[in-house]
Amino acid sequence: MDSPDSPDPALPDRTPSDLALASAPLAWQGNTDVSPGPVILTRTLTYRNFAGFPFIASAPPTVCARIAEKALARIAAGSGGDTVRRLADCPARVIRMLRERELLPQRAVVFPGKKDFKYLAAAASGAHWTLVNEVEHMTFGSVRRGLPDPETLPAAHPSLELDGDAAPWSRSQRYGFLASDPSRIGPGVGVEALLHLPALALSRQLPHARNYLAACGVAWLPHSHPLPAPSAPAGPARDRSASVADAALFRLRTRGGLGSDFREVHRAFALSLQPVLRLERETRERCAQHYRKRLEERLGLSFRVLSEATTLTYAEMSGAASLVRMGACLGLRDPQIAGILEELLVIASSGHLAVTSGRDLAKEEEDFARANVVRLSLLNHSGEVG
Amino acid sequence: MSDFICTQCGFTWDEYRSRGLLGCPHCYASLGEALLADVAWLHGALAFAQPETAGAAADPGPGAGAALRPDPESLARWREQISEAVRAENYEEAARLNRLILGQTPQRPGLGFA
Repeated sequence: MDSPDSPDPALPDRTPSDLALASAPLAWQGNTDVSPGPVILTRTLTYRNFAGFPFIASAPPTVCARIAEKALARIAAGSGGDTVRRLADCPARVIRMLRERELLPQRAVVFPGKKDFKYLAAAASGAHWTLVNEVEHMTFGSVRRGLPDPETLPAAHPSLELDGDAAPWSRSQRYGFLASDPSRIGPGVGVEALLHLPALALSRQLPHARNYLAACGVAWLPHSHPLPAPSAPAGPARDRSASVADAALFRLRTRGGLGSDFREVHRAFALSLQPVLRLERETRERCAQHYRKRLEERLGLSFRVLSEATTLTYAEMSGAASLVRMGACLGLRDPQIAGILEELLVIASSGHLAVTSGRDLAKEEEDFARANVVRLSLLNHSGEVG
Repeated sequence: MSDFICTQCGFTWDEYRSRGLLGCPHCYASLGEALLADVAWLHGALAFAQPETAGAAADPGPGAGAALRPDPESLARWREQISEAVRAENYEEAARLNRLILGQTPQRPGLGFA
């Protein structure tokens, strides 16, 4: 492989502009059959490492380069339409945009001296992608709306169907597919869901849900948007904590699946979530029955914030959007607005705004641009504004 | 265990402890029993192919099928009990019921994690 400064001959010359990706529809919003519920999206990740190679954590750069070549050749042979990006070549704002689109992990693991060998190959729709040298040699990902039925899920990523489970992967009789991170061994599958739990947040029942899921072996993480631009000055501490509390968005992730297969991991995860989802739905209904007037007042106020504000921080937007989305799910607003708000949580994020503007934005500029994007989106949804 | 060094990749136990990552496939064999506690904590299982499950599939025996595939009435009852357990903040009980629904062994002694 050439040095990082020279163009990489392994990359096909068909990378679309960052702007086109930033304005493309979100992959998980394609399926409109799924009604808006507490689960916004589910990501399935399959981890694989080539046999005969060390993991990235210990591999020297020359070996990382060979692994990258092998992985890219495999990607080229598999799903031919994927767009390949070398992550080291992407500006920070593009990395943030890819993360906001669920194509990159929320937190990257840094291996000094090996950054140049990380690649992302994503389908044009963004519905499935492959990461190269991000902890494991290859990470195959896909994203779907809601919480899909495990029985209807395809068993493998398109690139994995090349040779099934047979071939070049490192595996053992005892541990199944081997991975650098021991929580990923076994079937080599992880499942992650983004949940919106405003009723549990309002009724202060989140600790119950969190403790139950911890007992079930499901990791509970706050949704970490927005990731600030490096040039942006640090905001007040409340900005981030308010974002987490008011937006009521959480990521739940499986911790391990040794002893299970692909479908069992999904099934166990879906089953573990059911009591939390039921509690959220029941609390929403109770809230709508007993506090309808107050809820409608707050909903109206939140909607006005979104549709009239001239400047909006991400925390303000996600807090207001949370309440309006809950209202939409309860039938107090047009259900279609739930999808628009889910989209805004992504396209009005820091990375998307910077990419569409062509440069990193100062905080004031970003808040102004965000308010414009939100206002225009809601204006286009003619039934809601005017 | 702190003096462990993988003979294939040179990864040390301290490196594993600091990052939570292993250096190469051979580390799994090299670490052996020392890794089992972590695997059990992370997965609630110790091996990819569970011999007892395979045996049960080959020769279920009386009642074994019912244990693996609970009847709908039990499922509904257990789901209700999970909700009650969550409300009562009895999370361990909720997780135990969840495992019953999954058709897994209710308790794995000594693993310390569901």
